[in-house]
Amino acid sequence: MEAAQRGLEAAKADEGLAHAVYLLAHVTIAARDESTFIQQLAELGLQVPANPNVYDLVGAMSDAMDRHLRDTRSRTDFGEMAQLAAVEALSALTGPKSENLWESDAAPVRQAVRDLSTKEGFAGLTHDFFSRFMQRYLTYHLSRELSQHVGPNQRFRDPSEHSEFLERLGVHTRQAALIVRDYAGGWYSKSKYETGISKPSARKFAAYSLTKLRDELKIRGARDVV
Amino acid sequence: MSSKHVILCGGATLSARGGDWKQIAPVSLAIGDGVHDVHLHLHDLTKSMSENPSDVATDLLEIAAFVYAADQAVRRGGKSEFEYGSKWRRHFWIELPVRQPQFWADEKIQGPLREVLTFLSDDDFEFHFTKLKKPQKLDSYLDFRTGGVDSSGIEDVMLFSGGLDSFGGAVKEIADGKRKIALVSHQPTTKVGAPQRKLVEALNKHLGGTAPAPFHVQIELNKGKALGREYTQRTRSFVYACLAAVVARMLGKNRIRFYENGIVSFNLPLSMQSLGARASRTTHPQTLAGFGKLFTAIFDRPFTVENPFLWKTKTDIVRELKTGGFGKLCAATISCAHTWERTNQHTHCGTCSQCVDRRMVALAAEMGPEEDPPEMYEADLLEHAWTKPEDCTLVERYVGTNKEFAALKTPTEFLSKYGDVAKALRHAGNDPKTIAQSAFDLHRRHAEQVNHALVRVIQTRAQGLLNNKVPTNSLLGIAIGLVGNAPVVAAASTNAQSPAAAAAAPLANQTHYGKPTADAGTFTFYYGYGSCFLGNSVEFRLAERLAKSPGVFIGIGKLMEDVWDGRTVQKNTIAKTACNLRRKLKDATVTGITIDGGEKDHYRIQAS
Repeated sequence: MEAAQRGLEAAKADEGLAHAVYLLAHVTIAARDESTFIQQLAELGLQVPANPNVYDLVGAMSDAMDRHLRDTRSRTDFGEMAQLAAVEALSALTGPKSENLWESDAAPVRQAVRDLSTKEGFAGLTHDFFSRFMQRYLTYHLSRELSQHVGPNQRFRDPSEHSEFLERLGVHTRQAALIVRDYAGGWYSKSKYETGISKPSARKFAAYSLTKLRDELKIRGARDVV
Repeated sequence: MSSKHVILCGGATLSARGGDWKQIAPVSLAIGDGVHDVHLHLHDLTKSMSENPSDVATDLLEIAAFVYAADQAVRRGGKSEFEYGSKWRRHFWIELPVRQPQFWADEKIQGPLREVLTFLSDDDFEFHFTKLKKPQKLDSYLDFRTGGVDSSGIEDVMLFSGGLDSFGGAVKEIADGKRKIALVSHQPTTKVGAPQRKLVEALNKHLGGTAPAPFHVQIELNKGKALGREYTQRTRSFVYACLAAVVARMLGKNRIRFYENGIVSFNLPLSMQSLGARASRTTHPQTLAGFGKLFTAIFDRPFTVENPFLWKTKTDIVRELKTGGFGKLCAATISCAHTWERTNQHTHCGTCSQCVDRRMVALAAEMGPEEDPPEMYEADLLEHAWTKPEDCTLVERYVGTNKEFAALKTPTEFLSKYGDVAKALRHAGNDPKTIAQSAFDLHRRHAEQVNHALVRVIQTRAQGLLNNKVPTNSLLGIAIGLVGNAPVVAAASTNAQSPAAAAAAPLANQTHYGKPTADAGTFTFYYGYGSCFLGNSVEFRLAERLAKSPGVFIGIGKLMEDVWDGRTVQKNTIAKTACNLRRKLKDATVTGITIDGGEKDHYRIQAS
């Protein structure tokens, strides 16, 4: 647990985590204005065609993260986890809304992203992002260990039970990440209108979120074990 | 966060360097034949191919050789865990004399070079090119053939490792397409080179002159024994691509092809620890697109690097080989990664990831003993008892991940669980939506093929399973959860050393609640495996009251009495409280339960 906590301390200063939060916030802000959506995405480093669908958007997001971390020589495992969590959260929250609509229509993905630009919408996006980040973080520490416990006399009877455990871990981190949801919307609304969301403010927000998450996991761990 | 290393190539000296680099002891590399040297020889070319060698092509060969050597000469820091990649990633400062330093220093070349190398290896590269004082002639690296197939009329250039996939590609090009092809093989050791030659000879014999004989070029690029330290070799496909691209340009061609099944090309990580390039990206769509971009810049003409098998599984490829009558030749292909350990009796170890995949595919494609002889594997995939932790993870997750793939329903669900897929969406030659759909279909098909094979194998080995003759820590034992005599224990919770085990400990001991339960001690609502902390709130009191009589409608009068302490509140207040409770349960992913307001002025909690 100590190592995992030390890791979270290191993650607070991670450029990849801060950039992922920064991009998620600004992509949602960009979606508020249809006429400048593409241009604003380009300014963030996301190159998308004129009528982007969810796949255009997440592909561009992933490439923009890769490029930024390569150019700033700041690639770390935290950054990889943040990049994957951001892509997965965007896919999960915008994909189902736009999947059944005409692919040639630009509105689906922009509208779906726009829905995430409200106080409540961004709270949901942040909740999903940090849930996934924490699930990846915990599984990162556990993954090699867990496979040793599959089989007879073991925690997991077969690979399916192992997969179910990973699902439950997702539920666990999703519940813990509610603590982030509670204030993410407020931070987003306040920052957006008062000072703008800068990289330093995104970094500070991400660091604070990790502190809250760490404390929440500690409390939940203690409570459930007791 | 990466370790810094200075590489001095071909007698280069330190150029003006600042900061931390001055403190670092350099690693010196040279091309030659000694134990400390990088060895580079291109065999079986024709004289006509080397008539007009360009300086840039010769430089590219040497750059590839030095990158390959540097990759192996500098260790990544072992398998230390929980260092978050700081030991895995390296930062190279490479001093490299070339014939055309200005050309290579141009950002139009350096940019794509760094980009593709970083994606492949997770390492940062800084190149400093200087003028080479005594350049070697290209001929000094070449051996010329004295007979056999000539290089005229070659239509395409493809990489040929001698494994199943590249053999499938050669058959597709030569036997099906009736095309004259240059097969370019990297020969790291003679143990690899000899089987490659034998396979080409066997293919020619099988074809019996019905198709153009291939032009086979073997390139010996390896390092002296004193240099080899790092086994991961993430830049190896950069070397293969450079060698093939130079051969292609010698033949006047602007395209090279890798033939590799899509599952290996995407190489989605089986374990969460396999972040970044720890899951190798040898023929990942972004890698091949990066090579194309680099060679286009270097050769100043459109140059493409393709993988025609990107949307095929290995099982698809093997089935096509069988259908075409090439099944028995598959026995001469070699897929094993541990070539240096192999013997004539056992050409495959049976335990590396390539062997696990090959053997499973052989079962899926129903290859017979003449096509994939079981005895050529030192370890039997199905009944070998796995003991090393990394091997257990490989096998257990191979089975588990394929089960997960099979359960996926849509491309966005795939993308929202495997974010790595996004790294290919803009690099596979089609629009991202089509690529996402194709990748989803590919992985689902692979999962179905593997799962189907497992079911069939379990059926055929039922007797052994019934008689406890199959080791419980074998793939078969793991796959079906063979139960021994000892009681099942919660191992994850007993491992005090595991740093995140404590964080996940609640899961190891997680209780399943068959009935909705509101715990007034913790203000938490439980149902199934889910829990939702509601705090000391009206929502908690409503949940607590409803949970007392699951399935029974409670009137709002009774609710006012029990939840609002007898105060009269608006119907709307109760409705809003119920709505808040539903939202909180949903956010906490407490599923299988609903707050039902379906009867006028009544509410109940009900399993859904």
